[in-house]
Amino acid sequence: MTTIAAFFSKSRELARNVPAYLSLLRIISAGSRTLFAACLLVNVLLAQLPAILAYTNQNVIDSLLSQGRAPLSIGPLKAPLFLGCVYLGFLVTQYIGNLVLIHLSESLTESGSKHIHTEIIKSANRLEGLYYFENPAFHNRRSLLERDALYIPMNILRFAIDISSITVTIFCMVLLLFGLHPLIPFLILLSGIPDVLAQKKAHRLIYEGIRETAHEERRREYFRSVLLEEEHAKEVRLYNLAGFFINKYNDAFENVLDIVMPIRRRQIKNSILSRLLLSLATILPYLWTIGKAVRGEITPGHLVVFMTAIVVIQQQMARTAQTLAGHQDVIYVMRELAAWLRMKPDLTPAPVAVQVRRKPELSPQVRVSNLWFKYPGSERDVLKGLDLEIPKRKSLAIVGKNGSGKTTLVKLLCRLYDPAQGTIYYDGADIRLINLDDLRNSIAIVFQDFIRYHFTIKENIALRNGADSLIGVSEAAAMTGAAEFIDPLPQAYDTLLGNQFMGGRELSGGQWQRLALARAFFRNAGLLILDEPTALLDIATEARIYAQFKQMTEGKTSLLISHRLSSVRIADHIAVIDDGKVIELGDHESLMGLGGIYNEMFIMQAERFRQSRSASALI
Amino acid sequence: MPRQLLNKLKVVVRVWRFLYKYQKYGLLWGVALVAIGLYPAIAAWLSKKVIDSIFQPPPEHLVSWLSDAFFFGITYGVVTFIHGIISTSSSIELVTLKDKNTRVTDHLLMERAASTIDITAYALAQTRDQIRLASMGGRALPTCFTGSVELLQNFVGTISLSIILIYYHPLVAAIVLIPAIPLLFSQIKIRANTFAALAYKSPLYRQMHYLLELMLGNATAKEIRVYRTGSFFLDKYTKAADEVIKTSRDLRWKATTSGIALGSLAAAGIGGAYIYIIYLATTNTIGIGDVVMYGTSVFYAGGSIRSLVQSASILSAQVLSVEKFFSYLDQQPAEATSKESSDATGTEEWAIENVSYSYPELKEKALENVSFQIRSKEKIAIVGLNGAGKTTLMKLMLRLLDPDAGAIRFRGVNLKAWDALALRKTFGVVFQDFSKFKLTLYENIALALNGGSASNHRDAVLSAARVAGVDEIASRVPQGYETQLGKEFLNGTDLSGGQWQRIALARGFVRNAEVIFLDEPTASLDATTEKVLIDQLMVLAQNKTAIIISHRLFVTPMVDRILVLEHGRLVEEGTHQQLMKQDGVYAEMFKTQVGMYWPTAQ
Repeated sequence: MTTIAAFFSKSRELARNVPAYLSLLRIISAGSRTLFAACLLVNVLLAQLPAILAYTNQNVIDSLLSQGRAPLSIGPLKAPLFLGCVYLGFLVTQYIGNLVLIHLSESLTESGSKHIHTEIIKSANRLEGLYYFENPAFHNRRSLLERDALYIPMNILRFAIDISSITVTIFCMVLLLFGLHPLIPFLILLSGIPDVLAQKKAHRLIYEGIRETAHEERRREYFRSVLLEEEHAKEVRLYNLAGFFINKYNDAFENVLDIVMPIRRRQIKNSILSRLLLSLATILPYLWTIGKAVRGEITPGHLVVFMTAIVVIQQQMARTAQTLAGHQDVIYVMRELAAWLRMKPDLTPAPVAVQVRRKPELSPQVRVSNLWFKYPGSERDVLKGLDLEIPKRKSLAIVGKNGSGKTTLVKLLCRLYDPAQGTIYYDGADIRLINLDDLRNSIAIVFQDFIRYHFTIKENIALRNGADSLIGVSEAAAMTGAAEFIDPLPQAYDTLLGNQFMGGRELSGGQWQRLALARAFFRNAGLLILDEPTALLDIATEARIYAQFKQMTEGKTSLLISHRLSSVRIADHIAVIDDGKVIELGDHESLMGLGGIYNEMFIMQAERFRQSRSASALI
Repeated sequence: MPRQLLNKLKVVVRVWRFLYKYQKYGLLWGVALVAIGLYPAIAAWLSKKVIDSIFQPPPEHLVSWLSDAFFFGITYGVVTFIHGIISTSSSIELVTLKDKNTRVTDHLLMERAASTIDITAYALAQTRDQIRLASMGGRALPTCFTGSVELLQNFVGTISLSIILIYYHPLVAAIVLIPAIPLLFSQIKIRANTFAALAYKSPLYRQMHYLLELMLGNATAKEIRVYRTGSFFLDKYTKAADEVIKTSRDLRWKATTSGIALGSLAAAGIGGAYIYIIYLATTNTIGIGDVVMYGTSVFYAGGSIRSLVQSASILSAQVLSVEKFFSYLDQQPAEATSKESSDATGTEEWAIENVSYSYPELKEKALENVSFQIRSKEKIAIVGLNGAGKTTLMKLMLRLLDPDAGAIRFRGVNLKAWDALALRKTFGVVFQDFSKFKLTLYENIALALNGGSASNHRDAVLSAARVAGVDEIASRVPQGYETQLGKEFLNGTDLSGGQWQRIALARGFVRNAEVIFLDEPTASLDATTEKVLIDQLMVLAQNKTAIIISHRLFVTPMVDRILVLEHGRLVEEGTHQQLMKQDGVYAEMFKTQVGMYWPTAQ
């Protein structure tokens, strides 16, 4: 009873999923609809071959057995020979058809995989916040899809091919076996069902396991990459870490095996039992047929045909189990893909009717009111009722201890998260109501951990293609002093950077940072945010950049975060943040006069130079 | 061609030897799978026996109480059952074997990669690519094994069927087999070419991967969102994918067109053999049992020849990839130590003598003719502008690079003559681009002790953590020292740049090493933390040699000696006072720095 109930709930679930699969199928085949159709057409032709072959075989034997009587002849050829020629024709067709099928399915895999990956990227690009990217489940699903998604089109095709050819073959063989005894074909078919179910269940378990294993596999790959990639080469050698990371790799590996091995063992046990059943169901009719032949109840021709039919049905049932189990995998991957494509946006966009548009190049007045924030999954408030204002076209510097919430504030100003409480206003408009494209286009930013793009210098600065942009690019590069090291390069702005690709040139940290600054200045945005923009620069370059700071930020609203209080003093306003709140606010002079934390920090940092200055006062 | 084939065969043999060495038990499943290649031949022969014993019953039964037809019928059933069990269970076992192979090859790769003493390999595009290809090849090895099992299975199948055919009728065998040979060779060759072409195109694949990581990774997500560059990268991705598709499409057409011509020939051979059998039957040369056996054999032979061609051609591509893995493993890492001058000379702890270095593939010299000495327990600052060669000098002193000219002696012995492990144990280092390992907070510090096995050094780790202010971080993250760092892993937390820097400092000091290297150790620390930490570190370094590299001059008044590098040359050397008096490069830098705090003082 339970199995029947399970069967019905299964089929209901399957039926519910049909529309989802169809829409997925549309997406999958969108890049290659003709290919898909061509594959199916070739397959439908090929699927009939086994049946025709069986028919030919039977006829050949029948004709041979009728030797006692006058042999049939068609034209100059005797019937068996004629059928042999027909068989040859089919064989050639099958060989060619198979090659064409391989060709088509490989093409389909390639174009389909490009298409699926494009869709995967597009849905990720639609996520405007950071919520998903900081979520392990997102990355588990991602690595699963990166590994398996490209095989979806081919697997669906293969499933269609296999199922149709199996169906045709089994149908013909069942018809043939009717002559022996009407119940025999059904006996064999029924006995194959446990095998099919066992295989399906095993694959379901494995795929359920994969959710867990995906995380461990990602860890495993990470530990492997630590030893193989350049990033960590120095410390791995210095601290002799090969053994340590190999052990870590092993642990992660064992964790995967712990999940997978019991399933595999059970799979083997189950398949031996179900195979035994199928074999018994095959051998009994087989022996029965032999018995009939021994007693002379059936002719040799029938014997051969029945023997063939029984064997073929058994083979096809085993194949069915494999095919259905394989299909189970595809369904799971498709389900993961569907879930990926359906990811809900993590930031609610403002309804179009109330959406506020703004010109990106306009400098905003930015006001932060009573901002509270904690990271998803964390208990600790990072911002605790922060109030702040950056007046239009003025600069504000933020200083504060490590971990006081400065970078978090920056992320909120870019609306990479929505705050738990409180509001950020750009020119009086709630940031959540501003059109997101307009908002982000209004911001030019240098993150503390800016990206080092392994592209050309020009692309690193412009981040877009187009012949028109070179003037702006070289202007921006000149402004940040990047032009100094770019101009002498043989390929100047077309130099490929980074060591990912052949011919790429690695830059020093300071050089990369100047490019990141140029990237921000190239962007014609009204709000400039600089998070530790000169940490990697030497003193001469830094001094030059800050000497030009006023000029570079001319007419722009700007926000500067820095631990170097020498650079902070240039800003129109300075805010000291501690524990998620603003505790001091003013310009350099007034804060120094206040005698608070800023004063203390400034003196602490400048002291070294003051002391040595007095020590070397004689110069 | 035969020579190439022989080489490929050698690689396959090596894969099996490799597995024999590491997976003796698992190899049995491979052997079992190869053995069931015999099944079609046995099945065909048993069918013949069944039919023959019905229609031409032999005078004596093989088993007294059973007619021969039943005997062969039952045997057939048993053989089929065994075949079914072996094929399903060993295909599952093979997956496990494949997993375990992955582990073995990964181990060897990781060990080999970490066994090079220096990091020059990463500076060369060519060797970097070699490591990448070897890494791909390592992953291809398990597939190469399963591929070769499949190949052998099909080979055994084809051969055993051929033996039956040859035994009973050599001509039929010849008609079946000979036309298939051209197809086999041409497909092997075409696949290998395809692989070569795609390996050549591998920068494109890599670009696709790079872009995928850029768009889907955690670290890059925020900048891409603010700069709205998602569609720009997607565009690049599509272009690369299109080019890959185009290349392989062209190659595939070649494979298919030649396959159609040669495949038809092979098919004609099989069909021809069948017609020939029918002809023999109609002329009463062979009996009905023979027809069944020949027919079945020819039918199966057709299938196994087709699979043979397919598995051989796929394998021939994988072999090329695995070859890269083996050749990387075979390459001995450069001689670890040279015995040239292990006798100590000089009394200074460090002697840097006329050292020059330039990075491979770059013309300009990173360091030129640099000479200086450092006494034991001396505090040295190396200063200079970006690109002056400060970090390169440090890498040379750590023997992460070997100088092109000149020599570096540590305690009187050339670095090249030192045992690298012993040498590095005396160093504690904070790199400018220190590693942010996605491990636990504790592990990130402890891994500097005894190659990471620091379970019984908890006190040392915790005290280093306290000095660097990591205890404060530990009190703020959910699981304290056991917190996983890196949000893409379960229960992971991300830290700020300043927090990471404190971890790097703890890592540098936990070893209690005799020589300390600090490369921009406070670049992202806030003013208060910087002051507190620097003062503490100077106390800790009191009985150590300390080499501090910085383009910031905050520590220079506190050190014994300052070395000033400019364009790879050592231009000034002395104490703060001496250099200020000299009024050269250093004085200029210092005045700039002072001027930023007191603009009016200038």
